[in-house]
Amino acid sequence: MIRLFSFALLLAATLTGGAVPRPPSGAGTGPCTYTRPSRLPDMRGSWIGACRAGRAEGPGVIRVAPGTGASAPLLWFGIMTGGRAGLGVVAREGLYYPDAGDDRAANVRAFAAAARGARETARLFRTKGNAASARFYEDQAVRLERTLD
Amino acid sequence: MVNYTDRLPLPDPTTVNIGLASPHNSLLKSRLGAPRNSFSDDCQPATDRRLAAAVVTENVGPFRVTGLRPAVASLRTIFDEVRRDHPDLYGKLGTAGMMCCRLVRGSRTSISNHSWGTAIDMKIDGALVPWRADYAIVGLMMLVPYFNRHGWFWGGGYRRSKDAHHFECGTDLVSGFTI
Repeated sequence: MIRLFSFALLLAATLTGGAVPRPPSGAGTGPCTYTRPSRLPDMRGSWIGACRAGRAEGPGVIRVAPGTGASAPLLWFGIMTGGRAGLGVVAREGLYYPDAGDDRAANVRAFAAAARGARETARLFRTKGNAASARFYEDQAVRLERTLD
Repeated sequence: MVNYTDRLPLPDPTTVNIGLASPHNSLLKSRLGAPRNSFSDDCQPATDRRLAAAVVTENVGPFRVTGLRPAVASLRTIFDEVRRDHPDLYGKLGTAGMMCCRLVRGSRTSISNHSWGTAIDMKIDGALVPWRADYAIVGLMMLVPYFNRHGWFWGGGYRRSKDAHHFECGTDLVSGFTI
């Protein structure tokens, strides 16, 4: 499903219990469309990453704000190609859900793609002078890289 | 109804993995050989002939895995017991795989124990626990006694760098392997 880019984000607890930083103002250029990764629920989300010809492109993060009563946002870390979600990992309630089956190499690739998405998001925040948010996503990148050691 | 992905605090390391030890690279190399001459951050196949010949892809009950033959056989026994005692949990078991020759991320010398096909990462309902998380989940905690009983060391019991979905053949189990 094609979803519209949005900066309407909510503060919420993170997968590790802290606060998820807001994306920097002006990160990406909307409107930007993308297909919803299969492991993400059909909810309004925001792409934090590059946008080319109106479509999400390259490594980044989708942030899905939960509905009323839910506490934490869902995060998809991964790589988009022409607005289509490629390899990645969903972070939900402190757990990781890779877009991969039982194959070891496929899981390793999914986490590597997710780490690239987190690292690119950290770079965007750093560029905007938001050091705290950059640290948060850099920490996510390290966790994602190391989760399948 | 049990939610197998509910989070639980990690137990005191002294209460799990009793009598078990995590094998160092040196033991695995001496017992099973060096999987290959060079490693990267990506999964690569074993090139050591003896080790490669002992790697199998088989059904262990809830899924198929590729790993060292005796380790895969041990998994089949473990999952038979889990199916007998906890059929509901058994239906939610998955894996992020066993065999993968590569370096531990961030190191240029330390080789992942997955390189010998003697370690497995377990998914519960598709979920993995992030590296260094200070919690596990119900389904994983239920598996620990089964793995421990068959000589597998649980990564949630590491002193540092907790790895709650990771199980690996302990030193005694590896020492008994012949390939």
